[in-house]
Amino acid sequence: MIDHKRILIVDDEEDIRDVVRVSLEEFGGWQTITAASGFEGLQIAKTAVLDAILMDISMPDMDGFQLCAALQSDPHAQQIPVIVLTAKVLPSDRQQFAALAVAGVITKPFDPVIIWQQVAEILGWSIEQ
Amino acid sequence: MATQPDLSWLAHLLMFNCDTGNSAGFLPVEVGWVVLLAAASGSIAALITDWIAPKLRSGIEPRLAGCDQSHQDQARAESGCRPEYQSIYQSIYQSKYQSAEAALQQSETLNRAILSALPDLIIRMRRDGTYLEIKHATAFPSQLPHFEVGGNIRNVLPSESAQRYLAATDKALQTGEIQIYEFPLRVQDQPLWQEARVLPLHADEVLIVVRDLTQRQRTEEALRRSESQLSMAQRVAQVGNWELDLLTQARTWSEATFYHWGMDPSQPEPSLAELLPRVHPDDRALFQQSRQQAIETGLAYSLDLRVIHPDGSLRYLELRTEPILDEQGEVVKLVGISLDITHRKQTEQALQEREAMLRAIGDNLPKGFIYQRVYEPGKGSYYSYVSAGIERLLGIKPEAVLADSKAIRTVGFAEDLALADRVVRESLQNLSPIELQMRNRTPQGEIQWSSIRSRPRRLADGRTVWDGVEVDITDLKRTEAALRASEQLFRSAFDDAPIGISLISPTGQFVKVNAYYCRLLGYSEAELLNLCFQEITDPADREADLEGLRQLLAGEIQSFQMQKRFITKQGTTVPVYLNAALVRDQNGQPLYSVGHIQDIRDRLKVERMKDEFISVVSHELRTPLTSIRGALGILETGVFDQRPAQAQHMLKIAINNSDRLVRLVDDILSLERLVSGKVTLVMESCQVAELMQQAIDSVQSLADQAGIVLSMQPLETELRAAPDAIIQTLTNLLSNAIKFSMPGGTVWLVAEPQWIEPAEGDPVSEILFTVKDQGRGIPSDKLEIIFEQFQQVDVSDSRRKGGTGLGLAICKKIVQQHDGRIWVESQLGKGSQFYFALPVVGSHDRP
Repeated sequence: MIDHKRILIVDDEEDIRDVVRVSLEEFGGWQTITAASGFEGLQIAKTAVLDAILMDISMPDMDGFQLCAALQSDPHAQQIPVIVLTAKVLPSDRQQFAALAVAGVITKPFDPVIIWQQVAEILGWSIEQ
Repeated sequence: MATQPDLSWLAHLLMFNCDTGNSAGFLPVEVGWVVLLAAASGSIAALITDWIAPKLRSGIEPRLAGCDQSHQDQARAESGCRPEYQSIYQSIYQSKYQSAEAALQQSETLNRAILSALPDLIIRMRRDGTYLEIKHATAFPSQLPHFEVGGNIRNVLPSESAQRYLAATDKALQTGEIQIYEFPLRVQDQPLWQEARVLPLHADEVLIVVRDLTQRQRTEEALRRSESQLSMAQRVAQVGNWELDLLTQARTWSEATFYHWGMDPSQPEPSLAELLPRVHPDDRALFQQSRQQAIETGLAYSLDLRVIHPDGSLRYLELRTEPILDEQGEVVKLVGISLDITHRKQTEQALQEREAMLRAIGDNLPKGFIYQRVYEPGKGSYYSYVSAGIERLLGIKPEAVLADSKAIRTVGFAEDLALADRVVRESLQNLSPIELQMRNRTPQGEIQWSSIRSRPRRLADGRTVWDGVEVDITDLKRTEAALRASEQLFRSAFDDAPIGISLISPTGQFVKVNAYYCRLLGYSEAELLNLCFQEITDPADREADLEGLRQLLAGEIQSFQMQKRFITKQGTTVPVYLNAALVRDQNGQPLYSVGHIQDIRDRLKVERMKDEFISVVSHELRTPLTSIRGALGILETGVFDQRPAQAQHMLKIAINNSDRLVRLVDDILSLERLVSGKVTLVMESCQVAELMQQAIDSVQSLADQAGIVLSMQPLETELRAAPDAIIQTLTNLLSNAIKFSMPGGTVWLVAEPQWIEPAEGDPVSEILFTVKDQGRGIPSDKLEIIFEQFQQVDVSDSRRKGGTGLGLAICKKIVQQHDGRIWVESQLGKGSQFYFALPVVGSHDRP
């Protein structure tokens, strides 16, 4: 097992939050915190000690772009690497992500067994079996 | 012919050769020659000089020598007689045995008188030139020095002339024969043409008879000139003259006459029988008949005759014949002239052919006629010729126009005629050509266009003549009008085209732009024509555009298309779709490039919307799939094998999201069918209350679960509608109301009839359905867009409430297909009322 990483999951879909949470905890052995909206996620990111944020893009009220901008403007939160987990997979969608200050993108649907490995790979974490 | 009445003058020189040894028994005479000069007028006179008479004895044998040619000529010239010469020879010698002496003595006085009357100078001269006797004559000067008896010829005449005489004297004396000379002499500066006859008298004496020929010479000269002139005149005029003596059948033809008949002038004149074959067979009868008639009746005739020459050529002769009558009125002679009129006939024929050709052309002009119009001072204008085509063209007979020039004006238009009158006046004044286009009314009442062209000529007599042609140009006019219309059409097609059209020079300069082009780019036409396309092209697209133009100009491509951006005058960017091609001149040189530009802002917007829709649909489908895939993936690992509650939760996630996915796919398909019109709603008569009840029934369990009370106010009426679609609409609205209501709340379903009065047309009867809730309400800025696809007020709401984001879009489509309206009224925190109204169609539409 690798270090006990702490990941913030931001997604408005409850089912998806559950699946991601289970995947990271059960297979990656990490700790997770979940947020159901951008606002909630931002509040947590400002104070909590986090190794990464895994966030959705299409969310009501504060979407992923707005959340990214908000995180960047926060001295504490801007240190945390962000990975986008999105169902927006078309080329026109991908172009929009280029402008974002994110470490990587993981598309939905994802394989729950290996998603933790994808995160580790994007962030350059070593994986010890 | 013993006598000849008109014989006025006759001179004979009778020469008696009194050969001494010849006349046996006769007295010899001292001289070998005796000259007897006889001159008389109407009678014969004998001249015997006094110095000859004594010498004569008797019995001289007269021998008639006749007149030589020179005497004939002289006689003719002096008398003015006709050329016929008839000689009358008369012996003047009465008896050879009469006493010469006695006779001479008796007639001496007479002889002298006669001698003195002779116009000749008579001299008796010795061999040495000494004058022995002189009889002066008026024609010769008598006052010459030494010209007297005893004088010498050497002192009288110039030495050359004197020598001639002396030589002749010697020759006469030596030969004993008369010497005759003609030579000019210049005495006292007077030219004399003289004939000298030198006769030997005896051993040392001669008799010289000198006659002045000057006058004769002049007359002969004049005659020769006259004859030459006549001959020349006849040759020039090609007039031949001829006469026929009917009594003697003697014919006299001039040389030209021979030529006219193709005969040899050196041959004798031909007889009628010889002549006839030369006459053209068709003319022979007339020729003979006319001739015979002239002979019988004395009538003159004039005849044009065809004559065939030996070489086969055909000549035309004009014959004029005048019979000559004697005192009894009998025709004794035919005199006439002939004239070769072949050339004139040929010219006439050519002229006739030319006229016939002209007439044929005029008469056969397919749609027109030729004419000659004349203006005669004091008489006015008239037509001297109009070809037959006028009747076909204008329905007027040529004769009518020839009779009255105004006839042609009856078919014209007043304003055209006024113009024509002015042009003709100018033409008359300046001799300017006439070119007119005029309208005429055809007999069928149609308007016909004519083109009239003529050129005036001023004749010597003051008349002005226009040779002209009028042709139909109605078709041309129609074509012109069609062309104008076509050009107008093209111009409006260019100007009013709903796309921008430009012509651009090979360097990029705007040459022509249409209104749309100007509007799109915000420039006036004048401003654009001062610009190059490069200047208003977005710099990012400039290279690609120039490359396209280069390839066009190089002939590498026929046309090119590109999406490019223009910068408007206002500085905004307009995306356009450009389609460009090159127009070349007839030599293949590039003239300009034609560019069509299409404003693609709307298209790009639609494309963007389409992309967004696909993106949204893709996202909406992937979202439940993510949950399903994740939950199933977790279960598969067996990680929750020992934790059934967790496993159950994962299964529930998978099932719920599968249902959601099915609903989503169903909604997408229904909406697509409604939007594309692939499914037509089948209208039928429905009971409104039944529709409402069915909808309530289908959402009752949902309402019960949510703790919501449903309240229905049914309407017992009929409606023509697609029942399933209306139930779906009601169900969608009711389930939305239930989802967004707090537990314990109430959702109302009401239907009521109403009349609305549209701005136009009759009042319409409607059924208004209302679904009312007490939910949180909808922000006012969302009231419109919630009926669009995937435009939930809150994205997470739909997920949470199991919506697809397509329900209201489907409702809107169904209501629209019923020609109805759908809208929403809402107050945040208080609740929303969704309305839809369906028109009630007339009873006659009921089944």
